[in-house]
Amino acid sequence: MAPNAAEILWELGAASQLVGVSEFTVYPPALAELPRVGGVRDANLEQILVLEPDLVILRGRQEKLEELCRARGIRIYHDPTETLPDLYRAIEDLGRLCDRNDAANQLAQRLRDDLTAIRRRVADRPKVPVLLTIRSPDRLADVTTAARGSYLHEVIELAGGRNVFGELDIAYPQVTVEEIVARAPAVIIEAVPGADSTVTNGMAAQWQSLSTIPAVRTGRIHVLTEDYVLIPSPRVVQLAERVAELLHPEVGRE
Amino acid sequence: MRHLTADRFVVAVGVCVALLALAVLISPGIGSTPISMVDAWRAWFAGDCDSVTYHIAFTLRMPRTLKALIAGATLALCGAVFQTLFRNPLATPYTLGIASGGSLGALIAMTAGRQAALLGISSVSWGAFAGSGAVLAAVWLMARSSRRLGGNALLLAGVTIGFFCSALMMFVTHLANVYETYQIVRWMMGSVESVGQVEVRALLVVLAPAWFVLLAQGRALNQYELGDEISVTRGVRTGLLQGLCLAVASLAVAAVVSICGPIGFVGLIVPHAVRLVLGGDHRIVLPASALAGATFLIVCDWLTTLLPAWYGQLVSREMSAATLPIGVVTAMVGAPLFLWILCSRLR
Repeated sequence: MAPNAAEILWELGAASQLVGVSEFTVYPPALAELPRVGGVRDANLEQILVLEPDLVILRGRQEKLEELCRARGIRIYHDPTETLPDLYRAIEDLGRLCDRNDAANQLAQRLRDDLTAIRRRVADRPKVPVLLTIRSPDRLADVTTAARGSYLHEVIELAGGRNVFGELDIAYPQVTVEEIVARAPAVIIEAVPGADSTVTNGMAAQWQSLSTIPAVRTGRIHVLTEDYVLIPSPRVVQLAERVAELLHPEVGRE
Repeated sequence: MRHLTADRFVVAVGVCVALLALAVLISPGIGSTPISMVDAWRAWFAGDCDSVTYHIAFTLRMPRTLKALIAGATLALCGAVFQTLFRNPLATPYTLGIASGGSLGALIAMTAGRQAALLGISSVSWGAFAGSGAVLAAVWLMARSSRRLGGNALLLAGVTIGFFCSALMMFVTHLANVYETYQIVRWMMGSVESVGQVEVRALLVVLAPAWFVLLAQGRALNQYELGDEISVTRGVRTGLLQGLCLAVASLAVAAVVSICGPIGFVGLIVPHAVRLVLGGDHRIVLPASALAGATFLIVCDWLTTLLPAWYGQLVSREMSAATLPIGVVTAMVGAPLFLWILCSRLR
């Protein structure tokens, strides 16, 4: 029931053990073909019984499904992923549950190493003030961002950025455009999974009247449309690569 | 009902106008960043259009204040009109399903994938307006097809169409992805945030005439409230009055919903609060509701940024830059305020 967990199992070579996935699973395409058993609040209990799983991986709480699992003796794993350390823990837990301990340890270690490599590459560069937005693309209002306690914040910071809302004590706070103007980000990264180019061009254009923001003046507004942007999965390395490149184009990939 | 004299009218409207003017005057000084009213107006008079202070005060704070003003005035005024037309104290601007139709239209526009602006107004807003319009057309056709469809039947028809739209909306939401679901949930909570004045101007063009039409109906609505027979004998053409008020108020509400989302509570409670304080004469209830609704929504908009900061201090968490959707604040602040007015009047 957790798209990020499906990706982890795929990476662990345990995908053949999967019998169903969440509505929201998009990657890898092979897994998106599996029977879909519902979303965040609306698991299809009947279909889950038909698929006869011995483990259900949940994100958040679904009382009915949990009750059903208890009654049928199906194990439940609550995916804890909010931050990067949570992600490593989820990988190790899933490795244990699917009998892929070694692969899991290797995967977690590989993620740590890859992210550390990115961090090192940009470590001596000046920190760039960054704003990350999650918002409706139709107008510049009601912007949600990521702050302390979210993996997106950690990715920005390790990729050589300084999250302009980093100090907020809510993982995904809504912020005003006023605060964005006041915090003057040098780079704006907008996360809109799946948007096409008319949408992305429109979003960048909406900022133009706010010319006091350095990112607007220098044209450093980037709309990320990749499907991995908002999924805390092993592909977070690709996200970190991408962000590091945007923040420090002079450093380049290795 | 206390008798309405010219003096009372002038005093009541004067106080409401003064409060509203005060709210607009201090608005550029209220927000999460430390830019005071004095700084803001100094930047305005200096014509310093490129400074951060000017941008924050007049590209961001002033437009949202004006949007709150326009939306609050329209919703409260239309709420008062609907409550009288349906002779039902629980009627709201959304009773005829306008908000549900608008939300459905907005949702369809969001999931359609392509987003384009027309005349500076986004496709989501146009979608919402089309949705509200479709609901109104349906209600209108039903009202026409059956000559005997009275106020209550119309109300029932509107509520039912509203539920139908909500069901369709849940259906579409169910098929949407996480990101779209997040967008629609956020849209449902309403927003007056704005960059620049384009939406404010568009709203004014549509709404200013509607205000005048509705405000002019005070005397007729007073007669209408006494019942169909009496009002007919006193020369009020009830059918015409009903049709005119419903059409104009509905279109006005549809315009507000498409730009600001379905902001709740203002249209239900502000007219009642005004009646409790000033009596039930529509010649004063209508303008006072509009003015009080505008002031109320402006203050609620201030609180969207002030409340998280205060709460953050209370629980010692850093939340000073976070903000709340305005739909959360209207009822949270308005309900206790209204209950207080209610109790103090009943005593």
